[in-house]
Amino acid sequence: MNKMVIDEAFLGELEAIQSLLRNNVAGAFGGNRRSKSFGSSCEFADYREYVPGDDVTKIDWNVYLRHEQLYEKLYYDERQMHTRIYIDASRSMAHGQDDEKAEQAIRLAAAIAYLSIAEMDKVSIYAIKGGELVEVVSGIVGKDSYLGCINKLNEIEFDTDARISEAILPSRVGYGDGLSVVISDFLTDANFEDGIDRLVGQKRDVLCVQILSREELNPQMRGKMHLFDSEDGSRFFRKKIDRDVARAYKDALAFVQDRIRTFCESREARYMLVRAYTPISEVFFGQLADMEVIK
Amino acid sequence: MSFINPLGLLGLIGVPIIIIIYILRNKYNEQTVPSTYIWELSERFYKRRNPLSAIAGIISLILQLLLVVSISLAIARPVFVVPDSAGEYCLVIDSSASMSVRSGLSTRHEKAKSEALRIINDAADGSTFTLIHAAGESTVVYERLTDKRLAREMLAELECSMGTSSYSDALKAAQKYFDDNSSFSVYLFTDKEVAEHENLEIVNVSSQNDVNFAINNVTHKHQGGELSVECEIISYGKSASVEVALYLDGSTRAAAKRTATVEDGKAAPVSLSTAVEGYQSYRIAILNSDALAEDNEYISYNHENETSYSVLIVSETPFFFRAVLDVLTDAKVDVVSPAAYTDAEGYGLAIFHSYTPSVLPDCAVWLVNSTASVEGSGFGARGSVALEDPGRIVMSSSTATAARKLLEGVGGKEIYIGEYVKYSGMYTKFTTLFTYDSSPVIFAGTNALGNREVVIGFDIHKADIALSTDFAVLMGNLLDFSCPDVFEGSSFTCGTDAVINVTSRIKNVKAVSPSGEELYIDTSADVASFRLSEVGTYTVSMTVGGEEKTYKIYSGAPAEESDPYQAIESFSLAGERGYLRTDGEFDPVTIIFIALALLFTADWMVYCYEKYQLR
Repeated sequence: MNKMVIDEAFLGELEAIQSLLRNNVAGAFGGNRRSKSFGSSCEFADYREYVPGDDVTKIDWNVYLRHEQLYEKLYYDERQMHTRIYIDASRSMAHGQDDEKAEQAIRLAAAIAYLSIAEMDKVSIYAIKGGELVEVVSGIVGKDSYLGCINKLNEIEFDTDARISEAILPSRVGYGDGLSVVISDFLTDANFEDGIDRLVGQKRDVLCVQILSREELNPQMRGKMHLFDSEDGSRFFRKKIDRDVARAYKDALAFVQDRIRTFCESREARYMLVRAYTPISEVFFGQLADMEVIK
Repeated sequence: MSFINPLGLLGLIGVPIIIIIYILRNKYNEQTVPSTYIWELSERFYKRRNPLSAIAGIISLILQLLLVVSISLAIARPVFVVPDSAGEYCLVIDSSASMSVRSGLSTRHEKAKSEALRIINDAADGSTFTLIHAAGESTVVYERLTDKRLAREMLAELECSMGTSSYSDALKAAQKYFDDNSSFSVYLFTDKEVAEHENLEIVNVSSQNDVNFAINNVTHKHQGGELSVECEIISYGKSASVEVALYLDGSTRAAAKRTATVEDGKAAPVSLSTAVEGYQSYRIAILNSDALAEDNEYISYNHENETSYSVLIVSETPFFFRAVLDVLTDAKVDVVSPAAYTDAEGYGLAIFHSYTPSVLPDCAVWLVNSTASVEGSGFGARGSVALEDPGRIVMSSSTATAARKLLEGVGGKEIYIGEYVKYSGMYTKFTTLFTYDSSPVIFAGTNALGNREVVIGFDIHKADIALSTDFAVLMGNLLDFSCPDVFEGSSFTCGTDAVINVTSRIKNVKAVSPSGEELYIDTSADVASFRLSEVGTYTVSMTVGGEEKTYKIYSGAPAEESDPYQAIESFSLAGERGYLRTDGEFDPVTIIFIALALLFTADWMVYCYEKYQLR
């Protein structure tokens, strides 16, 4: 990226977003949250029948007096979360007027990272290039670290293809320790489902963000067109594009979106469509709030 | 399949040209998009939405190619042969006056034409059509015409005559075609009931509720300052009270009116009279409306004032001629002796009795007992022959029209002469009326000056003719011949000929029909005629002795055609009818033009769709 997407103005905007979220929403994005496993915090979670070998100090004797059965008290495990953000760095993300999809992807990643950092979470940001993950920001904690290295997002080059599953499957994704965000246009017939499955399988909260440009959402081109694929020079689409074809395109796009959404819902993951031209604050206070990704 | 204009197929050159243009113009705009994945996927949805999507891109090309092919075919006019589908049709259309009877909005003749048109339209292409117009003189309008369009046009132009129809002529003409090919389908379109018919179809176009009135047998008398008109009113279709009016000199105000009660199919006499000293014409008219208006009036024009001439008798003994002229005509008669005679200028008839003028006058002339030859007379005199005993002259038995007319009413059996002049060397065609010893003694004709000439080759004082009853009759006939009325009568029947008695004084005869058609009459013969084909007043103009004169004559509908319920006894074609068909043709030009229109429309719609995305 040659443009400075992450600049001072943007960071100021993030600060404002974070401030508003803190003031208005309790227990917002990320932070020192209880993990999905039981642990040793002070917060009571549930009862469980005593099994020989369990820690006898956790037996609730009051319950025993009432029911004459041994029950252990369970407590939430409380530990630092690790937010992992995966950015599709394929050419399709950077194609179009003013690279709007790529910019939006970077802004979104930076914003999520910022909010996680604000909640004292650890944040890693990866670029998916081909079938590999390129670490852009690794395990940063605290705002100083964030501000020190977030500019690296500006340096992501969107110049390859992106095979999401192939990149995520062999990587370390952590286990039950936070949020995984996959930002892509998902305009591919390549497998991405296995990657999502891997993240879900590792007990992570998964959010799939599909970024689409204005032209992709509502193509205006008409007439005899020979369309080349920006990622694969051997792929092309040749047709006279009229209203019927445009309608069929929209049908196909809706089908693809629905397929991703259905897949995500079946895996208890979340799916969100972000328009490349939507301001980032609107994304947070509108779409993410509606989806209860942030509270 | 054959082509009427094979050169039209040259238009097919346009097919490769359009394909080349299509290929050259078929440029696609190239563009790189983030991903073609959704576009590729959209194909499935597009095909589901539009099953014809596979050919959508070339619809315009296909339409344009079909257009070029259709235009080429429309010019080349392909014709397909369809075996045993065509026939030969002979359409006989009765055009007698009764076919003008109007029932509802159309006349019987119009109905007949529309029925004939239906047959032409229904017939397979390649059929032949023969149209016979059965009028006063039946005519073959066209024969074995294969061009349906022309057949229809000429049928549409066919007009109903106001005369009677000659069915025998029509039948004779149809029989000729039937003899040529017994598979000829002959149709007679008529309003008459045909009692007996064979080998042809009768298409009856009459209707049963038509009511018609007509005026027949009109006579008039003008005496004592009163004009009396007698006529018969006849009603067909129902008994009715019929109002009849008499009009004078073109006035629209009735001079007399009568109402007659007329029984169906019977004639009722009607008398109308009015006081009038003189008149130019009178008209009687039925005021009731009916199915045929043309027979509801009768006009008589008074020509008496138009015929006036004077007679010069050059004789020493003019008594007999003077006496008979006084009886027969109102003409002014002058008499001069041969010695006093100088010329006959200003006279319509000059009678030279026992005197031969040195030069023939320029008027009708009678040469009586002319013993010398005169230039231009058309004969030579060879001197007098005295008879020992009175000899009987023999009247001609010729059946020629002229002879019969000149001898009408003449007995001619016992006329004797004492001497006669022998004539010979007749170089003009004369009609001989009487002969003695095979030598013509009374004959009539036209001399070299074109004037009518009567020659009596004996002295009537030396014959007993002047004392016989034949004398006045013969003289009257000869007077009528020499100074005839221009028209014999003023009222005629449509479909007949109006006869003009041509003399040398009559020139430049032109007749104008009621519809304004101008007819120029040939006056080279003694008698000229023209056919009256319309009902109404004909105006005939001519130059008589240098003076322009105009006569009017009335042409009325034939009495028998007033009956809307006539019948024909028989109309049969002799022979055994065949049912062979010939190879027909199928000319798909209409289909091609419809296809062209549809293709043009479709191409235009596709163009608009592509250009303006109308959907």
